Amino acid sequence: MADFVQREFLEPKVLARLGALPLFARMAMQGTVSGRHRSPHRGSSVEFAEYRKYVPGDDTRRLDWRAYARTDRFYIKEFEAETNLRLCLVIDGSGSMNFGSGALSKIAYARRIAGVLGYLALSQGDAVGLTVVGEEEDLDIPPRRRPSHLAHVNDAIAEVEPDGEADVARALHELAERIRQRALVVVLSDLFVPPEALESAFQHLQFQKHDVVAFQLLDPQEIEFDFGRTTRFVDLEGGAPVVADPAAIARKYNESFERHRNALDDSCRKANVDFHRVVIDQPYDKVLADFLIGRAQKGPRS
Amino acid sequence: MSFLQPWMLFALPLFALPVIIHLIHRRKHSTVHWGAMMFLIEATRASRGWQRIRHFLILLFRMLAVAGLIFAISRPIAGGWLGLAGGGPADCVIVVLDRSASMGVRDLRGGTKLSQGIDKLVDAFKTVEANHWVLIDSIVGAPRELDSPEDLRDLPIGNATATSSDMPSLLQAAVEYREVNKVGRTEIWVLSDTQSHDWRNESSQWGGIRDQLMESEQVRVLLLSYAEQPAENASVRVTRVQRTVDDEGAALTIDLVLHRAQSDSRETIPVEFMLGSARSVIDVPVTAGETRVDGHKIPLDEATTGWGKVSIPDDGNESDNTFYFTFGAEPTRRTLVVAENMPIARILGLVAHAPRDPTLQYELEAQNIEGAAQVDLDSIALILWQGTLPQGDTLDDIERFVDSGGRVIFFPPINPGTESAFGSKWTQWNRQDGVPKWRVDSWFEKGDLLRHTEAGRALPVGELSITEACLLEGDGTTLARLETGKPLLSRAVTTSGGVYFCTSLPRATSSNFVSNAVVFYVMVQRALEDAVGRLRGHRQQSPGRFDPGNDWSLVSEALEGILSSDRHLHASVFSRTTESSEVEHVAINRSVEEDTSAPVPSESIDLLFEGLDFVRVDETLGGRGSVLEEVWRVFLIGMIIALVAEAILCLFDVQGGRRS
Repeated sequence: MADFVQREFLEPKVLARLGALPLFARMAMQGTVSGRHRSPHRGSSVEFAEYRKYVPGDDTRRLDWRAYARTDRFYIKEFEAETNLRLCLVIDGSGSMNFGSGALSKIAYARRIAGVLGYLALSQGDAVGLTVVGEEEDLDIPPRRRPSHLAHVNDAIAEVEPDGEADVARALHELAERIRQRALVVVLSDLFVPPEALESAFQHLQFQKHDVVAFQLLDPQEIEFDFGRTTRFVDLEGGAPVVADPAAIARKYNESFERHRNALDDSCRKANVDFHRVVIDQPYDKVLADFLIGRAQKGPRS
Repeated sequence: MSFLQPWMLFALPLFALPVIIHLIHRRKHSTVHWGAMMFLIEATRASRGWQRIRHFLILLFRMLAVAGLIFAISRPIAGGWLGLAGGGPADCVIVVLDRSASMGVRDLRGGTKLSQGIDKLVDAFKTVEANHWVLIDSIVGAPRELDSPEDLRDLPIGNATATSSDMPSLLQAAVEYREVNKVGRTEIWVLSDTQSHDWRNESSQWGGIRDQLMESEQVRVLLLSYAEQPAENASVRVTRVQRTVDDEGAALTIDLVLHRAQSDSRETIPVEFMLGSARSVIDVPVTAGETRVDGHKIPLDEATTGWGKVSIPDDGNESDNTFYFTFGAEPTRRTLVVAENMPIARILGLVAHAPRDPTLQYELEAQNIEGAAQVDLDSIALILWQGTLPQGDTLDDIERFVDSGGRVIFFPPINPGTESAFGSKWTQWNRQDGVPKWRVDSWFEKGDLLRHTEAGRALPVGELSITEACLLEGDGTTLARLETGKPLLSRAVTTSGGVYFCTSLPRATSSNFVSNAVVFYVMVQRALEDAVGRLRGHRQQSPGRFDPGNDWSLVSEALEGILSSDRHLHASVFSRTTESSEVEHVAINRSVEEDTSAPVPSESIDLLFEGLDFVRVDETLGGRGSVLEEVWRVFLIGMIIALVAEAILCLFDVQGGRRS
């Protein structure tokens, strides 16, 4: 690869371990060059697809003479076209991504996943793009398959500084309109947004035939909400701080959290989103390995 | 609220400690930069209502717990149920004791209302600070200074007497003591069973007492009330004792009244007569209220004078179970007629002198109003007084005469003046010139002068025809009422004896008393007969009004635990030998009202002290609680309850707040 800079979020061991795993889309992709991903178009690759009757104008070179000999009719032999993948990485740049009670913050975890996926995609000849959702404007790097593009993407990933509020749903809507060809959209966010807004954005992407993967990154403390004493909670997204007795509100917090989680699950199911809830105290390489293996086992769908 | 350790109350601001700790705790919070604010804000918003209340309650209970602890350590004292709150040290404590007969009601352990009340007062006074201690009891009447409240136990005042109390006068004495001695903040502690005849709550004297007390804001009146009446109580009273001699020999004829407290059951009470060493018992069926036994005869030896007693078994009130009586030779029925009008005097004399019993002797003495003062009333049974009401010494003599059992019937003067006697006065004549004349609309026929005859027949009071009647102003019980609503015959309120006011005159221009003489004659003769007891060679005295001096000696049973100087205050018999070697007896018995009086309603008591700093504590005989008692336990229990409540609220939070 043409990225020789040592990145904190790119660990060679992890890249080496995961390098052998393919990154598959769940549906046919439309690429500009031939690749390892199934294309919606019939082409002339090695993978036989079907026979069809000859019609005038067809390339006579693709006539199956053996079939003619057997049936005395002209058939054209068609093959699956194989093309490359467009991987669109979407990183949530809101302030809440800065939270992390353990070794890694959510943004650090997101960087690692994005870095590995970008590397894998480019390794197998796919195009990689990046969208960082920010408070005022988004950073958008269109997918390219040039090896040197990876350095550009990695630079952008490294420079992501979460701050303020970011409207992930809006960014996904814009992405859905912006990408004209089918793509694998990987969303890396804590998804602390209203599930109904997300569902609409996911359905928009799905409508545009994109394969959507969502990684919800959660810190263990956000799940447990286990604080011993009155605490002043400073909003990482710039809102007013809240002083609360955690013991007093824990039950309501948990109820609210559960409600959001269930609603998010429903939204992703309805929008056919490949949803992964990740607690960031898990090793990210394992999370990625599970993700890639799962995709490889399921295989592409039409 | 009073406290034995009041300085501990300086720690009372510590009750705010939980709030202070809470505020400090809030200020010392840790800061966390947090991402999942949407859930936090939603949880905070959802928890705001109940959680705020819960937090408030937790803080409140903690504050109450601290306050309860401080109060408990301060050793608060209260009376009744926190009733005797307020105060601080007093300059003077005046104890007013009601030692009337009804205060002798005992409980099963033998303690009387008086003795238990004194014990409670002494216990209560351990927590009261005062510079002067003063006792006013219903026997002595005058204030007595005490060295300490413990003297109440040491003084011979723990036994109820057979007397009645004059509570207004006792309170008046307390008020005067304050004024004379210029004492500062005063607490007047009254121990009484609030019997109406002792308190006389209708008396105008109360108004003056209240006004005087209200002038000073430094007076507090505390009443320890033993108003509870014994559930099962009967009393016995002898109403007439007459020595008669017939063919079968001498005998005593005794009339008596049994009075029983409210009860549904009919019961037979054995009534025991003791005459010398002779004892006889009769069973009398009684129901609730009054039961009369008339004409019970006891054979008598040759004795012409003597004494005896009638008693019933012990019950709730021991003091009304015995009644002493004396007897002697039948005295001459002597009537004093005082009149300003000679024809009327003559008619009155005829009526009084006409012999009802030919075996008895009747005498008459007539005087004009001026000459009445010269008459020795000792030998008089009945006074018929027509004219201006007596005043000055004459009135005093007549009051003593009435107190000793004499009877007086007042008739109106021709020209009414402004004089008053026995709480009544004549105002003006009213005349009915037309026809028909005034009739008697109603009269009291169950007792007194116009009662039914012994044969049970009613007197022909309805046949009376009244042409003119003098208006009477004052308190009294109407025995006969004209159709105009005005009284024809009224009885003044007295503790003994009888004072009657007849509002018309025995002359043709005023009434038909003369032409239809039956009612008038019976009325006068009954008054004479009722009064003659005081002349029967003995006397019937109310306790406290009889001074035995050196001449009289106690002849009835010795009274245990009673000072010899106080014996005449209890039911007893005294005797003496006169210069003519005749033996006289006097029986001391409780007043009639002690048998029938009821407690003054608490609302009426409150009215007597309306506007004053007044506290009433209702006690029951045998009650174990103190008038003033330390109530730190109450606060300690309150503190525990507050802590338990706080713990429950916190526990609820732990259960509900943690993730399952």
